[in-house]
Amino acid sequence: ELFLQTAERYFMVGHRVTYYVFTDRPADVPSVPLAEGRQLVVLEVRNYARWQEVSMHRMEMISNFSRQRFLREVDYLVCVDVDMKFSDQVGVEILSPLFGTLHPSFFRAPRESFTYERRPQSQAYIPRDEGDFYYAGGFFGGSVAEVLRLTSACHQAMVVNQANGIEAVWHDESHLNRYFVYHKPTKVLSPEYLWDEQMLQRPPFLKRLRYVAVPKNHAEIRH
Amino acid sequence: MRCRRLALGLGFCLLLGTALCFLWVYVENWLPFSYVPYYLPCPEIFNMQLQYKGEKPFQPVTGSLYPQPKLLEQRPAELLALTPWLAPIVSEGTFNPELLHHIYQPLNLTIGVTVFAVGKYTGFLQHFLESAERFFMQGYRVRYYIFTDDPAAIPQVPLGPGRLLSTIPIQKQARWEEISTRRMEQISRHIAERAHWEVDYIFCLNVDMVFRNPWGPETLGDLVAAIHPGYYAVPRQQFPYERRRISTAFVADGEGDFYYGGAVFGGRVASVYEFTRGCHMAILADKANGIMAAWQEESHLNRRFLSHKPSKVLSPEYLWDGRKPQPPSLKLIRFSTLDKATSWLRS
Repeated sequence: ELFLQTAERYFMVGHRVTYYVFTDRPADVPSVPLAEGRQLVVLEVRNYARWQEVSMHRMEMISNFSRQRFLREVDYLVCVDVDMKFSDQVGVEILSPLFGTLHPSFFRAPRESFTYERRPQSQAYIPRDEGDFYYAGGFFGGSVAEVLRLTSACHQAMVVNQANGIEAVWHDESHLNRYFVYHKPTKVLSPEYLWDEQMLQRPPFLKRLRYVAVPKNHAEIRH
Repeated sequence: MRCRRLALGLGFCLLLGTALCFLWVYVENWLPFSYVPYYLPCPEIFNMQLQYKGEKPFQPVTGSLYPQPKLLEQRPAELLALTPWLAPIVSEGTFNPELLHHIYQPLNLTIGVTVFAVGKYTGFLQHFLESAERFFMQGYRVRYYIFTDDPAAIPQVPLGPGRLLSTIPIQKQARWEEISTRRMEQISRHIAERAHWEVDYIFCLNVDMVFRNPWGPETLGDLVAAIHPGYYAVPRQQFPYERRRISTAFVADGEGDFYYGGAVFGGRVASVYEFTRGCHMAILADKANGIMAAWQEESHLNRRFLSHKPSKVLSPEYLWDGRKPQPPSLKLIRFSTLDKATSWLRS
C-alpha cells in the first residue's frame, strides 16, 4: 500500500503508468486511488517455499509476461522491489534502453570486494579483475525488448545452475550483475534511486533519496 | 443482329478502356520526374519514407580488461561530461577507446562521411582523405561520399580494406554561400536516395580540415553535434546566432545551450535525414522571405539543435581551429582546420 501510495506521488507523475503486481494473493492487493492515465494489473503467480526462490523466479515471470503482454502494452519496463517506498521524484531521467542502479553498499568499494558470484562453476561467475559496478537487484529496467533479453538470459542461467545443483550467492542479483558486465547498461542510476536509511549513513553528495527501504521484520514476512 | 453488334461494341469499349488504364499507369511510372523550381519543395523527394532497418540488439562484450570506473573521483579541471539533458559530452578521459571498440566492432557497422569539394576546394581532398585513412574510424567499414562539380579532380588516395569512396556529381553555384547552404538539401536527398541503404551512421564534415588524432566509435550516437571552437567559453548572448526575428533560424537572447559548428554533425542515418531535411525546409522558408541567415546553414543547424537536442555532443577536440593555441582543457585535438587563405578560395 505504501509502495503504491508513494509511487502515485513521486513516480513518473504526468505519464501513463501501468503497475503490474505479481502476487499469489490477488485479494490482498489494496485498492489505492490512482491518478488519471494510470492503472493497476494484478498477475496471479505461484508462491515458492523459500524466499530465495521467490526472488529468483521473478526473472522467469518477467520474461514470460514480457513476451505475452508487456511488449504490446508498454514502452518501458521498470522492475522494482515492493518492500520500498518512493520519497522523492523518479521521472523520465531514468529512461533508457537498458538501465541498472548502483547498490548503495558498494558504490565506494573496489571491484575485488563486490559480492559477485566467485565460483567458476556458477553461471553468474565474474572474475576478480572484471566488473564496473555492483548493481542492485531491486531496481533495473529499460525498453521491453531489452528487459526481455535480460530476464530471459538470467532465467536461462539460473536453470543451468539449478541443473548443476548450485545457487548463486545473491541469487537473481548475481545473475543481473553478470549480465551487466557483458551487456553494458546504457544508463546507470546513482544510489539516490535505491537507499536504505537504517543500514547506511547518508553521504553529503547524495542530494536526494528517491526510493528507500521500508523497515521490515524479516522473520515475520518470510515465515 | 443488332444485339450482337451492341455486345461486340460494348466488349470492345471495355477492352479499350482497360488497355488505356494499363497504358496510363505504365506511362506515369516511366516518365522522368519533371523539374520543379528550386523554391518549391517537392513532396516526392522531401517526404521520402526511409525503409525501417531493424535495431541491432546489444551483443555481449567479451572479456576486455580495464581499470574499474571510479564513481567518486572527480576529473580535475576538466570539461563538463554531461549536458543537462543527459547527453554525453565526449572528450579525452571520458571514455575507454578499447572497451568501446570491443562493444562496437562486432556490430559490423558502416559509417558514411559526406564531404563537399566544390571548385578549388577539391584541393583539400588529398589531406582530408589521407588523414581520414589514418585516424577516422579505424577498423570499421567506411563509405566516403564526395560531392563535387569536378569528379576528375578527386585525388587517388589508397583506401584501407572495407573502405570505399563514391563520387556524387553536383552543380557549382555562383556564390559560396549558396554552395554552403545547399548542402542540407543535398545531404538529405542523398540519404533518401542512396546512403540509407549503404550506411548505418553518417557524418557530415567540412573538407578543409584534417584528422590529427583518432576519431572512433565514441562519436557514434543517434544525433551528434560538435561544439564550435570559437565559442565554447563564451556566454550565450555572444553566440553568433541569427538574431533577426523574421528568420526561421532566429534564437532569442536568453536561449541556447552551446554554439555548434556546421563543419561537424552526424548520427544514425535516419536521424540525420530528419535533421537535414528540417534544416532545408527552414532554409527554403527564409529564401522565400528573401533572407539568408547570418552564418548560412550553421545558423539553421544551431536553431534546430536547440529544439531537437543532440543525443551526444562532441567537445571542440573534434572540431578545432588550427590557428588557435591548444588550451590545457583540450587534451587531444582530433580534427582541425587546415590553414588556408580564404580570399583566393572564394574568388
